[in-house]
Amino acid sequence: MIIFLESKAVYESFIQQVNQDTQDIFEILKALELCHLPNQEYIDCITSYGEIWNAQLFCKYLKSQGLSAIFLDAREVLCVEIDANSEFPNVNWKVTEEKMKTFLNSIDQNVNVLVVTGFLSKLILFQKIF
Amino acid sequence: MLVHKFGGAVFGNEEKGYEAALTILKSYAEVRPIKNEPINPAEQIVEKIEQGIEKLTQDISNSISNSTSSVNKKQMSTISTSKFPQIAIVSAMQGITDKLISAAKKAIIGDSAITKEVEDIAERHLKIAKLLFGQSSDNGLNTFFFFLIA
Repeated sequence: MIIFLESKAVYESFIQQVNQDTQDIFEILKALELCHLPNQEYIDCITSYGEIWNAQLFCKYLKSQGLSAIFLDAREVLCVEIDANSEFPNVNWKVTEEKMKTFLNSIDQNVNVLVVTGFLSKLILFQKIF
Repeated sequence: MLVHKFGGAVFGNEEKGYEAALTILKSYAEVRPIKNEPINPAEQIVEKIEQGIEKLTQDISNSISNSTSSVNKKQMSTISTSKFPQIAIVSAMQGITDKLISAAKKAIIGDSAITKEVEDIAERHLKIAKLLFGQSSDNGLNTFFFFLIA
């Protein structure tokens, strides 16, 4: 019975989060509609929700199965910057390492599975996501 | 350390999502004893960690940009401090990113169909969450029994 109650609470918290995020997506889409411009930063922001929702869902499921899992939005630690000579963004390892250490120091020592979003990072200068 | 990279196709439907979770659970059972191993010989432990770092670095590099930049293990030393036996890198469910991009493009041209498109995306996640967390009778029992077995 305890498991059912916990599962229900996890499910309801996920619903709440998706509903809130969906409202945020609509607001970003509204901004795109008003601007009539393909603002790449806004589009990138919208596309990031697929990774976030799925990783969070996966993490919650592992926890519901008894594992000590923790979710990490890669944008919290993985920082990139644009190099004029490069077509793609480059990882700033120094900043990334500092942020990763801070994250690791902040979590429970008994966590044994880290669930990370793929495909996302943060642009240091403009806080842009990819 | 084990690093799992789950692409969107792995989450094409709820059954595949279950399989991904089972991969973690099964390998966790195999890896768990490693946590209790004495650090001896240290070289073996370091080798295991370095292998994990290399794979993780490749995955992250591929994910963010398909960049061909070389991997610098020293730069990824942060991960070597990790206490995690397992890391799972998770993409969006199959087709979701394309749908979100499509919604953004439609918004730019003022297409009113975006409301339903976004709602469908959210609904797909909620449907799978409902199955995963036992909010229907069958899957509730599955979750319950699996917990007992684990």
